[in-house]
Amino acid sequence: LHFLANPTRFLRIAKPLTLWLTTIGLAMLLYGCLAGLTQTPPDYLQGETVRIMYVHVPTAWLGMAGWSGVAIASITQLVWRHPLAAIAANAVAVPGAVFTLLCLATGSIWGRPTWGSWWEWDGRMTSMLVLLFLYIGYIALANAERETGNSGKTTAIFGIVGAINIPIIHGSVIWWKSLHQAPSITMRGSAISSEILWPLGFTMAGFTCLFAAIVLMRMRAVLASTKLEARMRRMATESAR
Amino acid sequence: MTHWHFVIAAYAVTGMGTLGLLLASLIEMIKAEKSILSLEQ
Repeated sequence: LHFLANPTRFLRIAKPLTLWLTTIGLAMLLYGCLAGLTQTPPDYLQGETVRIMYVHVPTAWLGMAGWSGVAIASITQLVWRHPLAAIAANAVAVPGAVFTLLCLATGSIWGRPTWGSWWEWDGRMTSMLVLLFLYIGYIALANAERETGNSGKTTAIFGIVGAINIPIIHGSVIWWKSLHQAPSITMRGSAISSEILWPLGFTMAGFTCLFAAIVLMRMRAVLASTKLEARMRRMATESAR
Repeated sequence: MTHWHFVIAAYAVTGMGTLGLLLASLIEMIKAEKSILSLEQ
């Protein structure tokens, strides 16, 4: 991890990686979505709406994985004072919030024909909505700390404390009675037929690659802006002499 | 409404959200890196 502490070294790896992740991500996502829409049979109970799974499950995974990333980067920032950790945590927050919002939207669209309701205040949906509010709070706090010139310590603590919601989201369908189904894919295997399941692997991998590419793009933008600000400040000091 | 209307709506929302975020991040990155290059020149 400390190998990447040097921004120049990080950029040397991040620049080609951004292009590769974007290209591979888009290709896998396109193939997975097309296969999910045309190559799999409808479900015997849910009919054609089961195809929403290929976009809903990856967005839910990335919403939760995003906050796990924020928490890990925040710990790295506070414990090891890694110079890129705060930038990484902030770069994950916006895509994490967008994918959580997409998860809630696609879940709502899936819920209408399946449950007869756009929204239910059950454990899974409510804890996912709480995750979206946590992201919004995190982004607002990070912006406020940046504007006031603070170190970002409060934002990092918020990122770590907020991670308590991740096991709650995971356990919500097991602990409480819910319209949402229990986990279909566990360590012991999958309850979904393989002829319906296989495109999900492509969309999961595609969305994950795109998420990583977006995070790298946002990190590169912040690094360039920081470098520009520092150079402008130096130029202003030199011209004042 | 048929099941396909819901499927198309879910894919459209996800596609627009993902591509919008990707393009916004890409433009932000290109702008920031270009401004550094122009300053160096």
